[in-house]
Amino acid sequence: MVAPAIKVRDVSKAFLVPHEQRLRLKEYFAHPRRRTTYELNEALKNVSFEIAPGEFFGIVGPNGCGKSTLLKILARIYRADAGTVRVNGRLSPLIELGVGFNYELSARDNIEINGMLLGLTPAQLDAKFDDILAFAEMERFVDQQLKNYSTGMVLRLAYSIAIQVPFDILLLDEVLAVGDVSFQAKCFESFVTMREQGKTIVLVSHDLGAVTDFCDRALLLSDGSVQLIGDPLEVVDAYLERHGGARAAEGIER
Amino acid sequence: MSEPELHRGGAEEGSGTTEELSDAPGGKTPAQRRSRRVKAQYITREPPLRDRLSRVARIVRVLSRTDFKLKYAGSLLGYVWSVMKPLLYFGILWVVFQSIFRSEIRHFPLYLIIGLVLWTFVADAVAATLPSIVARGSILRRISFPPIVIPLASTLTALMSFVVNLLVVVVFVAAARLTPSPSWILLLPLFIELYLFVLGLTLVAATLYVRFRDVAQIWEAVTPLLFFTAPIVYPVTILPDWALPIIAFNPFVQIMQDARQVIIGPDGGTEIPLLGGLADHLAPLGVTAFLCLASLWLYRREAPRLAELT
Repeated sequence: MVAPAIKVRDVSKAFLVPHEQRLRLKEYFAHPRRRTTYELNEALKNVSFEIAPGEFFGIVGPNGCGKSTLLKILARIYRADAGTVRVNGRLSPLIELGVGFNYELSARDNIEINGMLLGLTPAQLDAKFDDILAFAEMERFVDQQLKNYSTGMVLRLAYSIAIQVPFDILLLDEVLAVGDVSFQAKCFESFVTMREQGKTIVLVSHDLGAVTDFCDRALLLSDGSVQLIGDPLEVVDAYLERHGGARAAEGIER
Repeated sequence: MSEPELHRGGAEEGSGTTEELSDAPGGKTPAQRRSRRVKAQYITREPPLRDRLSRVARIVRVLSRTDFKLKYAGSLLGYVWSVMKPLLYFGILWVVFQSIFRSEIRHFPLYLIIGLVLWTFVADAVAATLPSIVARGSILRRISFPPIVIPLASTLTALMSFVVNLLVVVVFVAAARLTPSPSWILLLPLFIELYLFVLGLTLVAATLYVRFRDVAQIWEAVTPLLFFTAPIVYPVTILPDWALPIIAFNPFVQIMQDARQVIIGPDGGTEIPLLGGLADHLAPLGVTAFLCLASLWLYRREAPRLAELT
């Protein structure tokens, strides 16, 4: 049997949200006996699932249900409190609308920084540089500071970097939300290519149409727990039934 | 297919999280109780150590280069400013103190500029590195990489300015008509000690700053104290006897006095008559070593959670 690309077992993650911001030592000295009251935000509760190599896997759920936290744990950015995450292959994450760009620097510098952070060597970066720019369609603006770019253009650049890095597993968080029609079409094209290349893709999206069109399987996350894993159409239906109004459901049906 | 060789990552550090949870009030939720027992694991096939180290080196290089670029972005004179700063200090302090200390210290201008260039390195490195992890939080929350590269890159940027500033010292050496001797090679281990001291200091500051923003205020208050308690402007000999054993533990004082002694010679107010004998060097070296180890311990403890706290 082929080992899964991603195997998540019983993963839980809680954030302690202090009721008062307590970033100062003063509070410790002023009230040594008093414990700040925390709200325990259980972002993920016993999440388990497996993704096979080459699978296109969708994750849907309402805002704040833990989707981004889950992706960050998969990408090893956050550490789970409990459970096991097993990742088989090189990961390329695209989380929270874009990699960590520095808006004071040019696109060229940002491509270099992020390429290095994602594990490219200088030689690999040189080889990929033109492809990254070409896919983002920003050859003309390469030496402009990023702060002069629109959100959509920044996202294009981020996506372009994320898919040019050598990877086996791609984590995509809401890439389709900001791009224009032509960029979305381009994303869809690249989805098809990557699938043909046998890449594993995890897509978190509110674009339910894209989830049903591209994903082999999908997962419905709600309140930090897995509600349903299976056929994307069923999962999207369940999501709409539980969380979307009837009107949204109609919109998708059409 | 058989499973590839797997590296277990992070299983040993899970306790940091559970410790944190015990801060919560009242009874424990089931998830918390479980998290005490079951440690979180992230299992993946790690690239060989050499590849990981070279990745870290590449990240440090690109980050420190862009740090340098950003620092002087939009300024006309660029890194000339990094030379100007110790020179401006020098101008003022020389005018004020030359009549007092000129007779006491041979080559007072050189004595002063060595102290100021070394001090500028420490002060600039801490000022730049202290907020660096928080400032780079947006990258930390999107890509997984060892957070230590951020303070490393930031201190290396300061080191670049320091090297440029050493040219100023060279000019002063020429003006004092001193000829370099082979023993000046001793400056190299001294500068390495200085860098390690600064790295330990800034790693502690930058890591703590993520949780406690007070660290910035504390450093701001402590900076002038350190400047005036170290014999940067004045000779050690004017300090009262009781103060000497205290400042003897400051690695910066030892490094500065040793550097002056190498360059100017033994009888120019450069001595460190502090604890006497070997202890003059063992004490500050011990402090530096302790600081480095403590900073690594603190960093390793905090590293897994830095991304979510920034």
